Amino acid sequence: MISQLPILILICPFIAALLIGVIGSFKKSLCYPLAVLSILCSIYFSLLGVKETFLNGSRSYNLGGWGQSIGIAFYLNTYNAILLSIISFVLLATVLYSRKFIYLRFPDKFYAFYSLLLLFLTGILGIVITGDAFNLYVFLEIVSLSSYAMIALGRKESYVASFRYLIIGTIGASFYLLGVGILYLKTGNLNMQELHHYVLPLYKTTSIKASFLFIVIGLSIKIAFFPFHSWLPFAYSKTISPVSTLMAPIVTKVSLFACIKVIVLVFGVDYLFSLEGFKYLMPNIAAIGMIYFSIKAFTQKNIRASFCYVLLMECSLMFGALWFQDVLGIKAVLYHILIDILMMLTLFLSAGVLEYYYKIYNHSDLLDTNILAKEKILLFSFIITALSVLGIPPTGGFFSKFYFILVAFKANSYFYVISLIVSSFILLAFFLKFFEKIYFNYKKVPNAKNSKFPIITNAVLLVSSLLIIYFGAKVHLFIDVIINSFLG
Amino acid sequence: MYAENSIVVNSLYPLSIFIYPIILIACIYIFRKLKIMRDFFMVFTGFMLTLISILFYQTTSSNFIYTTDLFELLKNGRLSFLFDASGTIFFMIISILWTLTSIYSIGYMRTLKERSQNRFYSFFALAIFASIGICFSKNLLTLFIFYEILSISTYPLVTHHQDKASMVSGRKYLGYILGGSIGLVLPAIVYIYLKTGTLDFTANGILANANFSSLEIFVLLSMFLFGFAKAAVMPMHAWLPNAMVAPTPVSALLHAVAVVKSGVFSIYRVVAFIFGTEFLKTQKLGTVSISLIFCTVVSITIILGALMALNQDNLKKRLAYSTISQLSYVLLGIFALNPYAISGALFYLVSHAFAKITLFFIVGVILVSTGKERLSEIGGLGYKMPITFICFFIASLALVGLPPSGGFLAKYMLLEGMLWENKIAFLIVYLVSSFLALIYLFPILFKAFEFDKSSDKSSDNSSKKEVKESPLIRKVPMLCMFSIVATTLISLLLFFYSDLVTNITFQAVYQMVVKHF
Repeated sequence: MISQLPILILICPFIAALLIGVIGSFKKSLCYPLAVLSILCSIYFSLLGVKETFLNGSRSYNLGGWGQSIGIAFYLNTYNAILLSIISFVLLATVLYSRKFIYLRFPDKFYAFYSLLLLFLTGILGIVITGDAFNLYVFLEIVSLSSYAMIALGRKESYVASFRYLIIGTIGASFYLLGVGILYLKTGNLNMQELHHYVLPLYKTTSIKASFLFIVIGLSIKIAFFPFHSWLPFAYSKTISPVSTLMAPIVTKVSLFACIKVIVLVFGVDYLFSLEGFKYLMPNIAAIGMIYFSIKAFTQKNIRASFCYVLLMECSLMFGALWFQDVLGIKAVLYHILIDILMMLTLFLSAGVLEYYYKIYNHSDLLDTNILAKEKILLFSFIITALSVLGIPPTGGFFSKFYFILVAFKANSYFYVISLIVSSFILLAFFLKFFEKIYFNYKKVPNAKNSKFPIITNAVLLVSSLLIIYFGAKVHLFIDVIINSFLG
Repeated sequence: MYAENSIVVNSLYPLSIFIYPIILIACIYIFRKLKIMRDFFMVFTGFMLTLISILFYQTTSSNFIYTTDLFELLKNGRLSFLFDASGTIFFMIISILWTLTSIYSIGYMRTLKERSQNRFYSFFALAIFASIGICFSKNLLTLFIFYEILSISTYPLVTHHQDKASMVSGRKYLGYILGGSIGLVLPAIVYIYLKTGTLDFTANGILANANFSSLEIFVLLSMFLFGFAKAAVMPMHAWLPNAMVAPTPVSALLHAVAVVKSGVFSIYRVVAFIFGTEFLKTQKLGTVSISLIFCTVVSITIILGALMALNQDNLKKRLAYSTISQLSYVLLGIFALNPYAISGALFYLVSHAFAKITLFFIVGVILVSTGKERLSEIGGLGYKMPITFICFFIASLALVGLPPSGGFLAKYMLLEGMLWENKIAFLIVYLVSSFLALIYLFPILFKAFEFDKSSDKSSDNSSKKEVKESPLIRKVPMLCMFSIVATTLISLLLFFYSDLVTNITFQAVYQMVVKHF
């Protein structure tokens, strides 16, 4: 079974998605357990993959036994596997907490939601694990299509948001496809590792440059990098909260990971380092983006919308740090991807449960609630997450910020450092504003001790916030061992 | 005077001190309904830490150093601890005063029936945990981690009352302290790490061999000086008077001892073990030596802080500004870069801690027993609370630096260090600020012992009524008095047994310049 691990991770949610789609219409009670079971299987196999690759090194898997250059190859390494398990964890958390919500909202069609969700998971896992440039596009489209459908599940505004996302997302995907097309035209191959050997002698040619640009621009739309971000806050704040909880932590980060993967595996780190212009351009755009997004986050009225801007700020931060022409910078980005998924999970999950159990949608609704007395775990994980976003120890966010500042100093990009600090200040004000509303204006309710949330939600919040601290303590292991397994 | 052959032992055992506050938090949770057990465990933990600190005193003052290296965080940056003389000095202050503050706060919080006492005590213990980490950090990274834990864990203490005033002060508190550490300290740490590849505290510093220009040194050092906003060097001081809205035990232990001294101690660690005093002495910006610039900056805070203390009516605020002034006192000793002055500064750290906490305790007792917290209201109170105000007198002596108190000897050493370095101007700063301390502390005593019949008869009807209505509504809690007398006695003992302190301060200075870990 170990030899089939890479496909097992992927196939469970895929089969479950199809099964739910077929049997869901007549055997509704089966849908939820099936979804949970398949995600659990995914988590189990990914964790097995972590163990296996950590002990025995990375492994590749050729789908259907076809050769690398003809068929599709999956690459599993320790970093990959950790990313896979965290993604599955996010999906599991969403499915568990949103059960009642989905049942109430879509009493007779909830099976379709689970089917979409598992399809989405399949696509995301595929993006992470695949080693084929075109296959990546296919998975990207699977993710996008299921996302468009899920985002449109909200109220009327969400249709518009979904349509906007569809237009912009399709442009991004087509750019990526164009880039891959040029590569295929030049080399006749699509496997990432083999492409690299063909690309090496063509480093100086315009066509490689063009394909690089197409791929980077296409994916930076998916990443929601600074000027291409407009679809994200609209889409994630207008849809239903479970959808934003499962998409916000994952989609942008996985696109970023795909971008890094293509750059590192296909073009090679050396190609990235030879692009002089990008070194000055990208971090500075990111710097402007960071400040803009943090101000936006501060000024939003809606809680989820402001978290969307926090997410965008993090994306800019990471995407900017990629271009410092420093391997340490790429490592820091890869490390921060893991941390950021967990941070955004806690943020959006808390926003989701606050919406569902307390009817809190806007910042002003936070006044006069008894969250302080009741939801200790929510507050704890929220504070840990806020500290991590601000880059305050002892959280993982501190160490990635440490590395970001380090590589920025190395590259003499002081503007990036300054705007990182300034945006931290603004976000500090934002989180403090949020926290003060809970802490200083609360209703005194007798016997208000017990949490309204289900135990499982609290457990997820606790686990993800503790993982943020744990990853912080293990930063050395990540940077020097685990991420090397991906970078090679 | 000091043991020269140092023994360095790598051991995990000293880490056990970190377990005590954690166990205490668990105990507070377990006995959240059973106040007596909770209070017992608090005092007991403080007592245990005090005993351990005495053990540490014995080992480190004979130059026996423990180090503990835990897991690696960055390349060449482990989570590691160093149990040396300087850390032990700070640890002793914290543990002894924590014990006394626990005793005091039991009386105080119960009498005032403060809310959420369990939360209060838990975060208090967490703050102590972080302070211990600051004492014994072996590198800048570890120090920074614990520094931030301290910042975060004290926020619920500062804002304990959960009202508008504490919201504003909490905002200021986090704004200054996190702002300083995120905005200034972190980049400085990263820059040093980038240039030197290490963050370890080393005798004589790590920057000497690392090719820094004087301008860089100047900028980095000022980033540390202002970034460690807990040291409250102007203009980063504004949070401190505001933070005084907190309950008195918090103001006493945290804002007179643990928090602010953590700032000063961090700066001391950075100056002595990252920059290196010998190296800093050689640095010049243009023609002016860097030491001189920083001495001037700090002197401004000394004088301005003292002047601001003069016109504060609120007693706690008066003490807060006095703290601002006195902290820079210690910093001035450090920036003199003279072993004697630094040793004096460490001594002053000790004597100021005991004296200042006494004053805060007393202000708290006045608040508990009469509900008064302003200078203008305490007229004639000295006759009702004689012991309290005698203690106040002795503690004031220690702050001003008059015998018989530890403050006198500390100041003496500071002045001598200044003379050695030929910094006569700063010697005068010390003397002037002592004089100012006299002016802002003694009026409290005068007011307390004034017996002014004319005003009683004629004008202040309302105040007269108040006195009648509430002549010591509540009795002064015995536990509070115990702590006050204990800290006062220690202030006195520091004078008579000063060699006990100088022993370890000299050892600390010795470890600062001679490499052995």
